[in-house]
Amino acid sequence: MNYEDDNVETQSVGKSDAEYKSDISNREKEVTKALNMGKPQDALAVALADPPIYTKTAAIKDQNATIVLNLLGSFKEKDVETSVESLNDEQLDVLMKYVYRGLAVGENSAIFFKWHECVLKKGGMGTIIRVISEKKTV
Amino acid sequence: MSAYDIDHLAQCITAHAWNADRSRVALCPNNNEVHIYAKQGTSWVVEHVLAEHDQVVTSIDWAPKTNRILTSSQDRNAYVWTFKDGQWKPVLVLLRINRAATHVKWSPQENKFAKHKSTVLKVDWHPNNLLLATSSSDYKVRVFDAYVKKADGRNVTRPYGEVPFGEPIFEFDQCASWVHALKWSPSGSSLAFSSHDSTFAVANFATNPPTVEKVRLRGLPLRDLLYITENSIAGVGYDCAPILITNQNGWKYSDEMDKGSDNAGAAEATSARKLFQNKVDLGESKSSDKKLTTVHQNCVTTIVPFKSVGGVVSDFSTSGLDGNIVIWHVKALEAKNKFKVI
Amino acid sequence: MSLAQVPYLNCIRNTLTASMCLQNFGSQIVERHNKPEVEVKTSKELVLNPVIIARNKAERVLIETSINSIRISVSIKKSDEVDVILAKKFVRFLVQRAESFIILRRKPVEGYDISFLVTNFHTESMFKHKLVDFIIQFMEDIDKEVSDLKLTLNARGRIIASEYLKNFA
Repeated sequence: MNYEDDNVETQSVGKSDAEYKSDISNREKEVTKALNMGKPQDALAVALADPPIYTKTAAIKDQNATIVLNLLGSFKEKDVETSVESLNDEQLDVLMKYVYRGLAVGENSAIFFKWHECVLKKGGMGTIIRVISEKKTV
Repeated sequence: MSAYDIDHLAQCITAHAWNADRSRVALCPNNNEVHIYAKQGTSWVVEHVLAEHDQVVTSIDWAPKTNRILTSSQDRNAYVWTFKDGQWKPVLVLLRINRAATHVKWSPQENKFAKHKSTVLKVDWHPNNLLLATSSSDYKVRVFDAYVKKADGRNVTRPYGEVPFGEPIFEFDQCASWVHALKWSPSGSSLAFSSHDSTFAVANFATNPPTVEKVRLRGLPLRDLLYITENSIAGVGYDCAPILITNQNGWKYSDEMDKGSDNAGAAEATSARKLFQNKVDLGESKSSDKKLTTVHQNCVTTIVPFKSVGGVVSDFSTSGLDGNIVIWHVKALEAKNKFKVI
Repeated sequence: MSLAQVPYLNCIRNTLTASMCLQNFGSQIVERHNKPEVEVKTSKELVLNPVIIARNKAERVLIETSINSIRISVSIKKSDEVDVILAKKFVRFLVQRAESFIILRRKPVEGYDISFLVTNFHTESMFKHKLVDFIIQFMEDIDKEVSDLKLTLNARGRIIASEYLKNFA
């Protein structure tokens, strides 16, 4: 793609890649811990907190996404709705972004369709709009 | 009294504006012309056709006091139309811009009008005739000092001191996508704007720099806004129905102002069933007669006040891609759809 | 519509409803031009994030959105080589008649079988909810067509085989 001009500034704010890396390894431990204690709800909250949206390094986003997507994929379909019910607007927006990452893979798609349906029901069309319009991707 | 009046005037309307006594409406039927309709009895008839632009007209503003019409178009020109000897006479205004002129608006005193690197999607004048806010496709809202010595004279106090013309005083980057709409409140103390990421924000100018409140919307993005009162905003856009956003210790989505026809739910269910039945019986679907339950059938692009007294709008009109102009009566709507303007 | 397809198509339908929020927008770069930004891609700020919805490795949809246009590319089910051939033939048949489909793009985006291009001019002259319906219906039908073709093909194969074998009976 050859853009002639790029009027949208990209600022370098937020955490550095090194900080995100330590975030991710902590996140992985905490998610596993919550799952082992039988609290997938807590694991979900940990997974959705502070996603690496400011970095430009795709590998960091991918690493974080792997943790979140594994967690989302491990949910049972019947538990999805209740889990979504407890999330706030900001978490719903982040979750929908990861759901679309999951949908793009094409594996285990049934569970991601379920997540999509439930997040849409709770958060409205606005959640999809923000997945496609916000340039700060997860 | 019904809650709204609907008139189908064109296949698709890109902009509309009313004259001072609301007897005439100027609209663009999605081409290079502006049609002026006058009400005769119960029907609207075309009175004049203003054809001077050579690309689609993007915006119309009708000055109530001086009775002049201002139009802008994608051909990057603007015209001021004056009514003389039964004819509308155009005067070309040189804009010297290198983007499509998307939106124009008369300043409150009607002595100047406003029209940057990215396309400006909307402009709005502060009631003090000096500040101008613009929203743009580069995700930003800017507030300018639009003091022009020739038009404003020397005896004015500029609210933020001497600011070079063309320098933004404030820049808001709260939006993550194109900023479709912005409006000053009637008093000018706050500025509301909405963006394509389905968010809505209000900048409060009581403090310097202003504080901004951002609201996530459930629905699709809003294309235009209107302050009904200082604390209530009507928003229209891709959802086909106007929504109400109110300020009660913070701005919040309040309700839909058009909840659709009364038996909408039931009709929807049976038609969905019929659709399924058709598919089973005939191997095809008969979905072509599906109609939305809202008054507008497609994206609503414009909302303007129809009747207002002292900054309180009692009736407003909307137009959209479905070619309808709808006049909404706020009081009747409140009673019918059980929401509260504050 | 087979039951298993429902969540997939619903997901696409909702994503399309959200993406198909277009407006008339003249080019920022070239005066008096008005081209689908999703195709010309002159300014990055006018193009939104593309999304992919995949049901499995073969069946997926790519939705690319811009300020005045949206491009939808579909990759259809291909469970075996017969499917691949049939899909190719069928799509060719359609593309040759692209004009009567209005929103069908003459050439699919690379990696996909068929692409649609919807611009603001379409959303202005047609109702948006019906455009979305059309695309979903099209996706349902194309799957059905290909399965039907395959059944007919198999049936024909069977008749030929049995006729042939009769000679040895």
